[in-house]
Amino acid sequence: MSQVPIQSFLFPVLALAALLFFVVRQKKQLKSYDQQFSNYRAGELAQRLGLTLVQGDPLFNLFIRHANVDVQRGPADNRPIHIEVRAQGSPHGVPLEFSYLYRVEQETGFSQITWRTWFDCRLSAQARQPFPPFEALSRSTPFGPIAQTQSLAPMPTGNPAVDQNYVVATQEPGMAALLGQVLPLFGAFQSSGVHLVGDGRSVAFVMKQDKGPLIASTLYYAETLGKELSELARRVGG
Amino acid sequence: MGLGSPHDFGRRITVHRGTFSAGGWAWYIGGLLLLASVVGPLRAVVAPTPDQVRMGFDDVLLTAGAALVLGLLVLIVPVLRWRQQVELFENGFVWTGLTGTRSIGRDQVRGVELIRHRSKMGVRTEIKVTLTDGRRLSVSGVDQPEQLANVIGTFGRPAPAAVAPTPGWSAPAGGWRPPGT
Repeated sequence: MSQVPIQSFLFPVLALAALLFFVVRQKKQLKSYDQQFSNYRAGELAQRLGLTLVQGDPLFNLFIRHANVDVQRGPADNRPIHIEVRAQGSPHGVPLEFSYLYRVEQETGFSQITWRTWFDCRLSAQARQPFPPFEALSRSTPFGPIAQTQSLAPMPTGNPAVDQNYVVATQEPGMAALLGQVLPLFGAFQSSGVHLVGDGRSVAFVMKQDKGPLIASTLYYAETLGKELSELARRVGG
Repeated sequence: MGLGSPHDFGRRITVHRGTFSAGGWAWYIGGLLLLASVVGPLRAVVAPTPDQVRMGFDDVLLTAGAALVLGLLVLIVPVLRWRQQVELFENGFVWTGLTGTRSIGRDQVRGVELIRHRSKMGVRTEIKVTLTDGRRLSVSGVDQPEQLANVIGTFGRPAPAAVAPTPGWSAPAGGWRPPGT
């Protein structure tokens, strides 16, 4: 026993201690970020938007989502990550809804692991009357191009400043012209991108976790977003 | 009647071209094999190595030929991925590649899946389109795959009101005008 060098014991113990230190430090950091950005927690966000949380954990932080124990642990076979948040209300005179869905399922095969991911985060405002579908997206963002979601071709709005910064897709020239007037109101969100989707009944601002428009940057101006989106719903649907 | 020709597909939304990077390591491996098929015989002519002298020129040519065939085989997939494009229209899409052109109408699409394959060879994004006749198309290595999958995904669902009137909204005569104007 005395012939075994001390390093054989010391190094594994040191490595374990270092590992423990980094794990504890990371958890502490996550907790502190969660506190620092508490305005992104579902409960506080709903309050900022003037909505009532109707589904989901009020402590779930949409910016620091790894603070959530399920997200941190990751998915396993037969144990998916499923986070769903829903808040509703009508603080600006039209029905407004915030919805967030993050679900990851894992399936371990013989030679591969398959992850199926569902992600959707949007703030939507209901219009009183049906309107022509449209989509408006920033031409570029620091996080790459925004992916269009509806089968609509681009149409010029008649406002050169808007056409330079946004792609507006619709079939109705009247809708394109209206968006040419309204889109400058969303200037505050231009830094991380604007993605507006009008499906004919409601208008929604669609956000992403790791691409433009980033949830964190967009929801920094949550109050403004709720107001401008409600105004857009009124303009397109009365 | 089904939509079968690009003329019926309406206005063009976007064009998604194949990317060079979609070939990944295959470019490197295929390129090395092609290089070996040229450099080997050249070296045998100019300054043969002792191994080449022992093998003889015929065997050197045989080895070079094998490297050439293998290199070309390895490069087939990256070249096919690179030289392709998908034109996306309001009512369908046209997929053009070195092996031909396929036009798929809105009513031929049943569903779509966007799959990211991660391995030691890199990341590859694949779009699997399921058609109503049960066939499956696999499009790999085009730019902006998420947008392509999103829009093709809408083909499998009821059309937007402006494309095919639904209970939601239908185009009024003379065009739409904002309420109150």
